[in-house]
Amino acid sequence: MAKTQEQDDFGVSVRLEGSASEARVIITERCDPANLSVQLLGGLLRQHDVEVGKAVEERLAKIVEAYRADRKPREDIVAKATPAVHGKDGVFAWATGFDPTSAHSTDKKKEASDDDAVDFYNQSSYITVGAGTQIATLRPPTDGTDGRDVVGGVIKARPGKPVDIKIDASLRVDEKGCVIAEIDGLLQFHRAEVKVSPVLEVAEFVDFSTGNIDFDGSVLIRQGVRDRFVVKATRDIIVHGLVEAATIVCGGNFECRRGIAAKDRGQLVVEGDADVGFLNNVRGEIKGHLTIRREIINCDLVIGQDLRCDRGAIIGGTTSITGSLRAMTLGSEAETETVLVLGSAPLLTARLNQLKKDCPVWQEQLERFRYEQKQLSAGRGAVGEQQQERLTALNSEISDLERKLQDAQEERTRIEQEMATQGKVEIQIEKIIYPKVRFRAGDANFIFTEVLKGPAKIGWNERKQLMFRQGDGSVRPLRDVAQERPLAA
Amino acid sequence: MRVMVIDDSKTMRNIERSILNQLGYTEVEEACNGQDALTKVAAFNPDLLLVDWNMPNMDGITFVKAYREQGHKTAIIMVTTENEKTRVIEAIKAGVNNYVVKPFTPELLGERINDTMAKLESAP
Repeated sequence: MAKTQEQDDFGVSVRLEGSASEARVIITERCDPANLSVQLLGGLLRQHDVEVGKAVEERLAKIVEAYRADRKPREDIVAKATPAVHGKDGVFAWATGFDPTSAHSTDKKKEASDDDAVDFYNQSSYITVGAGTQIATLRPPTDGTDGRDVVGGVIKARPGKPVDIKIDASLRVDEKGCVIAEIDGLLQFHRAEVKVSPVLEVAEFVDFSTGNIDFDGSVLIRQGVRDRFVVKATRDIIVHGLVEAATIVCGGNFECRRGIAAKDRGQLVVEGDADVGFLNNVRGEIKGHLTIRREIINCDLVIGQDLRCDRGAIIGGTTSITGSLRAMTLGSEAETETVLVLGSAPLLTARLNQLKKDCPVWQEQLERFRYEQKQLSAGRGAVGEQQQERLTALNSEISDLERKLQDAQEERTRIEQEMATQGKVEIQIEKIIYPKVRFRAGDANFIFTEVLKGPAKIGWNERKQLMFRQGDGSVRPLRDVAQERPLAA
Repeated sequence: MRVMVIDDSKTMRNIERSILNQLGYTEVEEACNGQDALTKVAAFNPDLLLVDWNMPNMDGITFVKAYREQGHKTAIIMVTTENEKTRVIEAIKAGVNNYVVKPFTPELLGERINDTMAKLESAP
């Protein structure tokens, strides 16, 4: 609301806007130009507490001059408030490719291929970060600058609001406002909190909503894994629900409370132990122990240590076991062909074969590099910088290959020693062995042709003959209860 | 320990990074010339610099002088094909702590790095 005071004697008045945002001088026709002066107007303004500085006096002088030149009523703004500059709110800006709130924002996202087909399986919506990675920038709020009204009052600036995001201890903010991961893990943003979690937790299914998972750490899946998806983790994987025809690659231990129904398309690779409800049509390699709560059906499995299937059956497929086997039942009433391979170390054999394949290739590379090194060194006096760098590269390659070959030789020796001691035959069957269960151990190849009731044990005697021991304590050669067949059969 | 490899050759940077990784130095930053290195050193704050001599934009010796003028004491190993004595002396005068002539073996570079760091650690 404007406040006006008229100077009756001179026909001039001052009006202030309600919030003192501006001051006006009003001159009426009653004002005698001879009486009008800067001093008069300045004094009038001061009576209203308006600050009269040099700029205001200059404006007043112009008004006086103008009125004297042309005696017409007038109204002029002579002072204006300096507005407050309000503070800016804080900003939390995700670094490019690190916004977990934006679906499929990860750099793992596959680009459309030439034919514009997008692999939706690979459109993971999880972002993994390494320690030291900048994931966002945090700008703090600013206070702003206070303003001043025409009577000298302070117009308070409104400070900016801080960012309403909590930053977990797994991240730090440096002096430049860079938000940096302190640990390797999964970048998560939930309920206004940002953190890096060493465990990737999938609340429901691994499906098109998550894409394939490839995580440096452990993965916990609350539901299951859908057909054709891939879950890779450098550490443990725990799945509470069913794994369908999916691929699981686990650097640690694997636990799946329900089981895997792989429909011949699923694959399981476990570096540690596996504990699974059931396995159906799975191709798998488990380097540690495998524990099965129910049954193994039509699987092709290689197990680096023991297999425990205490309450279930092994039906169909081929199961190679380095350690011992304990199961309730082998085979089925339907006389499903079921192959068990024991007495060897299949994983070690595979590794040894791989080394036998790799070593000659590395040796040949090494010879080639040494030859090139010799050629280049022979003309060293005349060679330029590029050749010197090539020589350095060759030195490095040669050094790498020599080390690889040495490591391979040591590994071969170790594997051969382990193979000599690892492969064993130790089978314990609690209930039944059905016909068409085949059993291989070394050069021996047996097929059961009739139902044999347990409990029973099969193992080598001291002369490495395969023996069948029944629950009543009777022991006889395995060939008495199963037909020995040539290995090719 | 943070190591910055400054070389215009990507192959050389890869080799040096690989050797450093084998020696257990996993925090490695790369720069492709002296100018690039000067913009990166402040943020990376290295403990050791492996610097090539001949590079475009800003060569290694100019970089070393500029870097030392800024007051940095970080260890610098010149890794270069420049093998004349005068060059070595020039580099040492500019503030280089050690010198490796290309071609080098991984073992030699490893030894020089370890020697350099050991000397710095034992310095008062």
